Amino acid sequence: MNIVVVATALFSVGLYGVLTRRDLIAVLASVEVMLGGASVLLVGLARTIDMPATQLPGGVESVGVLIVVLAAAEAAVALAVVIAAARALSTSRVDEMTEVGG
Amino acid sequence: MNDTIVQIMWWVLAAGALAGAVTVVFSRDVLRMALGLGGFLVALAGFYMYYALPFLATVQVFVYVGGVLVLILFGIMLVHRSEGDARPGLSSRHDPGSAAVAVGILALVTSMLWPLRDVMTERPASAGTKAIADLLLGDLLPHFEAAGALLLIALVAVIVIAGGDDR
Amino acid sequence: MTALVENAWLVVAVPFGLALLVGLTGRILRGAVPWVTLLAPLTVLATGVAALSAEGEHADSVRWLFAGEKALSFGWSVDGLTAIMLTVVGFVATMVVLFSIGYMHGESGLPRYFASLSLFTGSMALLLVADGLVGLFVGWELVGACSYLLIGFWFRKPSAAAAAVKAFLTTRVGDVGLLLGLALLWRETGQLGYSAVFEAAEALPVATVTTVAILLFVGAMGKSAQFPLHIWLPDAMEGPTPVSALIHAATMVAAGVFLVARMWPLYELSETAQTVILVIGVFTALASATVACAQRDIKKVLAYSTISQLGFMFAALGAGAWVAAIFHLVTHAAFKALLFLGSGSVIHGTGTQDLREMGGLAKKMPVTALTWVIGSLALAGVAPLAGFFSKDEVIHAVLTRNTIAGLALLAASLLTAFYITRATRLAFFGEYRGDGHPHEGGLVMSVPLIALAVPAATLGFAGHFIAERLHEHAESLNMAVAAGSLAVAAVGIGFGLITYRNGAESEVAVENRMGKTWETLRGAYGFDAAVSALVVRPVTAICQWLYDVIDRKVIDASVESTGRWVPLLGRLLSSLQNGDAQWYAALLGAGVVGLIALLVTGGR
Repeated sequence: MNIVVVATALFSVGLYGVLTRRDLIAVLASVEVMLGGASVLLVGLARTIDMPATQLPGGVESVGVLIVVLAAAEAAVALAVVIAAARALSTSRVDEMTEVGG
Repeated sequence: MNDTIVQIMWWVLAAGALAGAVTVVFSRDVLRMALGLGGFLVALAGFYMYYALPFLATVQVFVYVGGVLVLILFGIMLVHRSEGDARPGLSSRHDPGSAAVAVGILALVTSMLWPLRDVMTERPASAGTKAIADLLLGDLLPHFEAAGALLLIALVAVIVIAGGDDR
Repeated sequence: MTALVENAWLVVAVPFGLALLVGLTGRILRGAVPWVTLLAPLTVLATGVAALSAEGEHADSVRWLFAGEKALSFGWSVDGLTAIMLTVVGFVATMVVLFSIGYMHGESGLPRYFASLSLFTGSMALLLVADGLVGLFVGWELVGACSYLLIGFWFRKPSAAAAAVKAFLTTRVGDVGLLLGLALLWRETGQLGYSAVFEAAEALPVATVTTVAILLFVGAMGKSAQFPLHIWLPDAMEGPTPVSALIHAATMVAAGVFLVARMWPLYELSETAQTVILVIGVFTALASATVACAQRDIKKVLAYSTISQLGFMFAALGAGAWVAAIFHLVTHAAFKALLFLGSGSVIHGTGTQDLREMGGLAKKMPVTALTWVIGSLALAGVAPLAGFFSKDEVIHAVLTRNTIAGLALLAASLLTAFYITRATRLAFFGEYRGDGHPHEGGLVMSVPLIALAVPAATLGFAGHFIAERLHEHAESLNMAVAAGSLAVAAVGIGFGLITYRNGAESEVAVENRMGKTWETLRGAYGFDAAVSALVVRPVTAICQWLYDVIDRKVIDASVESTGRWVPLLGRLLSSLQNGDAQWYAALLGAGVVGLIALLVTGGR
């Protein structure tokens, strides 16, 4: 059960960072924290709960690998966006990027 | 005795992961934040080891610590171009609303999963890389290929997005 | 001729159509407007005459306004009473339209005037030919609306506009009574067609019948200017004089008498209602006859005279002699329309309505003077002119019912003879005191006067015919009463002639001698002022309060504050859309928390 609490706590801390960090890079790092928390929760639950779906040899690891690949792609694209945005708007601060505001 | 050491190890990992996460979210110093993220990612790899998933742990270290973390450091360097000698600072806008949302998620997800505590058992056993390979190149081949395609698309996308000026 | 009777709905449709035509194309028709309009009263007159000679009843109706099992029927029927009334209305309206050509010459807004006249004719015809109270009520309200339009024809004159509003509102007080009566009748019997109502009324308790009868009479009081709802009629003289002749002397104000006569089977069942009508009628007849004696305005004299004569008709109704009432209605329509048109001719010729500025007009306007004298004698009740016979029947009926009421009516006739003699003496004889050039108004004005003088002189002999058409036994002349009323008329005329032997000088002398009494009479006993003080001003005050407090501070304020809240709410909502991605993310997170909370608690 501890893994659930710890993993969710990691996710929540990351979420808080996403909501409050002012620098885009820091927001991106917080997103990674959220993603990590979610991965640990997934893996932890898969390794501790006895269900047919979790018993497939290598299944958990395979899904984990796919998650890591997705996360890598996400991080790369997001960072590219951050750099492009910072270049276009001359800032990397989220609170100054209010172009879509009403 | 072994069990106790393993338990202690788990708590150390948990503390490390949380400490890293908190550093990422609250640190005012860019490099300390990057270090915190690194610590957090390593602690995750430790968790994977604890749950007997050595391959996943390896991938985690390779991709995350070796790739994503370096990427983020690059990002920091590109975005926060030298502003004198001082290291670029980070600021947060702490507000109770966001805290409430975060705590709410924690409380609700935990309470949602709480009933599972009775069916939880420890089953640390590795299936070995062969099984993973069988699976990824067997039943999960479409997913594997899709992940590869995604990476390719992401690669192109990054070039297009970040390299807009060169066209 | 029977074709006209079988299609009696034309008496409504033709005037309405002409009103629309004249109103819309008046600018194109120009001089032809009055002649086109003339078709409307002629249709009514022709139908009335045809119906007088036709046998039996003609009717047609459609079911209308279904409500479950019940339905209102809406249709027309022509019987003797309707035929008589149609003839009267058609004849007077024809004369008035003709007269208007001369009287209204050179006025602007003539298409509006003639369209209103035509609309009035059609509405009055609708009131008459309706086969039930629903149709009658529609016509009733429409004539009220036309009256409003025509009194306020010179709407730029504040007093005319005010008079129009006053007439409309005062008659509306009566209309509320009428509507309540209709509602009560509908609730008690489920019927509003005449014959069905009469059938059903027999089974009703007397108290209910009395209530209905009195409520309907309240409507009649408003329309026919009976005390205490008479206050609008003198003011209505602000309208063009031909309108006064048509609407406020001959036809619309007689609608109340028609209503009671039409509903007679109902009134026959209630002794109490008859008594109420008798008392109101006699009181009105006497009181307004006294008021008429002191008026300086020739039209005001005729207005109070009309109220008084309508009182006579109601007295007859109250005495149970509804045939006498209709008879008097018919003769009165003739001689009073004649008198009004005569006064119109005088006003047209001299440019004033003030009796003190007239005098000696007999020489300068011989046709007007002659016809006026015929009308005056008919009004005074001199044999063998029309008023003599009908008034005689009325007084006889009332005397039979109640001696005091009969004597009061005799006193009223004496006053009638007196005040009309006074008006005639002051206006037509002696020396001309004004500074204009009195002249006749030409053929279009003389012809209607002469045409009305004929029935005013001779209609008295139609009593038998009218009673026969109403399927009632005709009263033969009661010699004693006839002699009495003739004596009364003679005394009134003689007294008038003696009092005003020196014309205007006598008038001044009388006014000096009578002093305050005369002033009180001229002010109609101050009743108008009392109504203003006791009813109008409190109501206005309440309305002002409602406006100030309820409307301004409650309704308007709530509306306005709604208006103020909307931008505030908008600003609040637009602050949600501040473009801050993290703010959006926080809202998203809050939403997720909410959803999970729902899931966890299972919606409890």
